[in-house]
Amino acid sequence: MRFDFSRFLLEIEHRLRRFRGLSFACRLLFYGSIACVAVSLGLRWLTPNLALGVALLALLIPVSLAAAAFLLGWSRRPDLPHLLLQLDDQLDSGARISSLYEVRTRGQASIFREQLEALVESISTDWKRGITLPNRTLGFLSAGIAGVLIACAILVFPVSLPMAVSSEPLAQSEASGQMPISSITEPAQDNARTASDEVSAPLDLSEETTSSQQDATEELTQTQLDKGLSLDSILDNLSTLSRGQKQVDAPPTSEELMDLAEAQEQARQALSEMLMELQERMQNSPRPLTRQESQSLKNLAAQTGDPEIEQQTDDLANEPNPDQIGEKLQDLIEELDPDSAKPEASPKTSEENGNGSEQEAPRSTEISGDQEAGQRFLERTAEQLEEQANAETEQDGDSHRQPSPQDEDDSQETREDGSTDIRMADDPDDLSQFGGKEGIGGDSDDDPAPGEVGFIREEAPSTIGAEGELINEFVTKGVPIEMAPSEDRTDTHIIDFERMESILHERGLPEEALDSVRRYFELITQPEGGS
Amino acid sequence: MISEQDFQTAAATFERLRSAIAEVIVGNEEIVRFALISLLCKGNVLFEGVPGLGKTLLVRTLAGALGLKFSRIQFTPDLMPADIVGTDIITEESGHRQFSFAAGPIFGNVILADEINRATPKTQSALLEAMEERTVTVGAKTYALEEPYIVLATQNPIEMEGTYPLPEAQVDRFLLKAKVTFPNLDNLVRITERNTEGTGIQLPEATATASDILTARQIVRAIPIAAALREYIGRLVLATHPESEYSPAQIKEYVEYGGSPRAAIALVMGAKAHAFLAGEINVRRDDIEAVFKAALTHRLVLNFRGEAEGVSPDTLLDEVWNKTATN
Repeated sequence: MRFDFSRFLLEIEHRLRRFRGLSFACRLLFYGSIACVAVSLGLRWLTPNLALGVALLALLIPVSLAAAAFLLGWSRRPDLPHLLLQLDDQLDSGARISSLYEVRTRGQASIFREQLEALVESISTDWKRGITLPNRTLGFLSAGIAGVLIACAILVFPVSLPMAVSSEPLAQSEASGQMPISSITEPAQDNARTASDEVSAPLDLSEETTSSQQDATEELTQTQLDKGLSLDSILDNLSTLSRGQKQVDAPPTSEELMDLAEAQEQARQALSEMLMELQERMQNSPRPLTRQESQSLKNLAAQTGDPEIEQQTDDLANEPNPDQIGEKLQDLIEELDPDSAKPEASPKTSEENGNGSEQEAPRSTEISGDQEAGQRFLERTAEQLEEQANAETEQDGDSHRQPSPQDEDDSQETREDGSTDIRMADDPDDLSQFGGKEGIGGDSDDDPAPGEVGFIREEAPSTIGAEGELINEFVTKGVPIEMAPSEDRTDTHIIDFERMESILHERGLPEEALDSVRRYFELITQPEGGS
Repeated sequence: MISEQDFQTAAATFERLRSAIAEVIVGNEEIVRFALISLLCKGNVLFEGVPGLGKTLLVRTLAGALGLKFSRIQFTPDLMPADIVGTDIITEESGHRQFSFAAGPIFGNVILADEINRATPKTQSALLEAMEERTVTVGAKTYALEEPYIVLATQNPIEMEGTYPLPEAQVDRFLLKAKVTFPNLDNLVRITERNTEGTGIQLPEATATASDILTARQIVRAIPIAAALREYIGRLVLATHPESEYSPAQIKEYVEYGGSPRAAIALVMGAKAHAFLAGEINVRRDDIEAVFKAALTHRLVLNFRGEAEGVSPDTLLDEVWNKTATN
C-alpha cells in the first residue's frame, strides 16, 4: 500500500489541534476551578442555606471555560510548515517530513520526492511521540480536577464550614453538669444580642474580635464534653486555642471587658429601678403585670446576662397572682441588690471607714462606685504584678518574711471585716482601690494565719459579670479552676493551689516563681475583687 | 530533468574528488569541503592563513583533480588590472597590423588569487566582475569566462604593512571564508613524510570533468529545503543586523553592518551543497550549521567599539546561532 502523505498530514494536524485544545482547556480548567472554589466559598459563606441545585451551577464555571478553550484551540489551524519542522526535530528525522511537504507543495517533479516519501513512511510509524501533551498540561488538568472536587465538597458538604457550626454545645455543656462551661466559653456577644443599641455598641466590637474564637471554642468544648474528658484537658485546650487565636485576632482588651461589665451593670440597675417602681405600684394597686411591663422586664433581664435573674424575671412576668408578684418582686430586688437587702453590713463598714455619708448615698452611686473600682482593679492588677515582680528581684526573701506589725494589724482588720485571707495588697489604701472594705466579704473561719506561706485551697467568689466571665478571662488559662455554687453569690471560683503547684512543677517553672504565680491568682480572684 | 542516476553519479564523482585531494592535502578536511562547496555553488572562497600552510597546494590539487585550467595570480602592490584581465595588443598578420586581445590569467577555470590583499583596491576590483558575473570587460568588449569558474583567494592575516584590506563589496562576493589553521603534530609528521621521501608530492590525475561539475551544480540546486528552514536562515541573517528585532545584545553592541542577502543565498546554497556532499537528499539543520560561520564571518562589519575591544566575529556568530530559535 502506497504511503498516503496527505492522510499523514491530516492526522498530524488533528492531533496537534486536539492537544492544543486540551492544553487550553486544562489551563482554563485550572483557573476556572480556582474561581469556582472562590465562588463556592463565597456562596457558602454569604448564603449558608443556598439550594444545592443553584450552588452546583458554580461548577459550570470551569467546565464551560474548559469547553470553550478546547473549541478555541481546536478551531485554530496550525502553521503546518513550522509544525512539521517541530515534528522533525522531535523525531530527529533530519527535516525530512518538512522537506517532503515542501516538495509536494511546490508540485515540482523531483528525484528526491520518492526517496523522501520512503524515508518519511519509515518514520511515520511512531510519529505520535513527536506530538505529546506537555507535563505542564497534565499538571493543570490534575490541579483543575482537584479544584473542581474541592468546590464540589464545599458546595455539597457545607457542615465543614464554620458558619454551619451549631450552637447546641452550650445547652449540652450545662446539662452535662461537670462545670458551668458557659461561664467560661459564653462570650460577651450572647448578652450583646439582646442588649439595646446604646449598650450593645462595645459588645459588637467584642463580638467582632472574638466571633471566630467563640465558634471554635464552642465546638472544641462540646467535643471534649462528648468524649467525657476532664476539666483540665478542656482548660488546656481552651488555653491553647486562646494562645493560637492571639496570633490571628486581637484578644478582647480589658477596655472591652470593662464595657461589657458596665453594660451588664447598667442593665441590672435599670431592672432594679423598674422593679422598685413596680413594687410601689403593686402596693398602691395590686394587679397582674401588663404585657408591656412583662416584656420590658424580660428584655432588661436578658441584658444582665444572668440566667438566674432571667429565670426569676420570667417567673415574675408570668405570675398572675398579685400577692405572689409582690413576693417575687422583693426576691428579685434582693437578688439584684444584696446590699440594700442587708442594710446591717453597710453601716459597720462605713463606720470603720469613718465615712458615714456613704451610708446615705443613693444606690445608683454605689453601683457606679463598684464599676469604677472594677476599672481600677484591672488597671492596678497589671501594675501590682509588675511591681511585685520588681520587688521580688530586688528584695530576695521579702516575700517569705514574717509580717510586720502593721501587716498584722491590716490582716486582723480585714478578718474583722469578714474577708478571706486572700489579700490584694498590704496597704489598706489598696483595699479601697479594689472596692474598699465595703466590698470584702466571706468566711474568716477557714483563713490561715497571716503571713502563712504555702498553697491553700481557696474559694474566690466573683462578681464581675453574672457568671464571672471577667474573672475567667484571667484565670482560665491553664489554671485548675472549678466553680461551685454559692448561697449568696451566683458562682464561686475554686482554685486548687496544690494542683497548680504540681502543674507548674511539671512545666519546669522555677521555685522562686511559684510564689509570684500564686499571688497573681490570689489577686485576680480576690473576693469582691474589682466590684 | 535530473535522474536518480545523475545524482548517484555526481555523488560518486565528488567522493572520488575528495579522496584524490586528501591524498595530497594532509588534514584541512574542512578547507577542502569548503572549496568543493564553493565549486558546487558557483561561488568563490577566501582562505585566510599564514604563509606555508598549503593554501596554494590545495588550489593546485583541486584544479588538477578536476582536470580544469588553473591560473595563479600573485598579487603585489604594483600589480595592475590589465595584468589580471589582459589587454589589447597590436599584432601583425599577413602584413596587416591589428589589435588583438591578450587574455590575462583571470581567464581560466580555477583561479588562485594569492595574497589578494597586497594589491591596490583598483587592481582588486578587477576581479569583481569575474567573480560575480563570470565576465570580463576590456575596453568596449565583454568576454565570458568559461564554466566552471572559481576564484580561490588567500590573504595573510598577520602581515598588515603594505596591504590593502578588501573592500566590503569584494568580500561580499566570496561565498565562504575559511581559516587555514596550522596542522597538528600527526598531520605535520605526515606532511614532512610526503615532501621529503620518494618522489615528493604528485598532483592527482583528473577524476572529474567540467561536465560533471555542472551536473552536480544542478543536482545541488534541486535539493529540497523546508520552508521553515528557509525562514530560519532568514532570521539568522537578520539577527546579524544590529537594528533587527532578532539580533542578540552583542550584535547590537559591536556590529555596524550585518550579512547581506548574498549571505542568505550563501547559507541556503552552502547548506544544500553540504547536504549533497554528506549524501543527504534534503537540507537539515546540521547542514546550515556547518556553513553558518563560513558564510557570515567575513560579512560582519564591526563598529568602532567592536574593533577596539577586539571582538571576534565568530564569537558574535555563536551568540546569533544560540539565540535564534529554529521555529
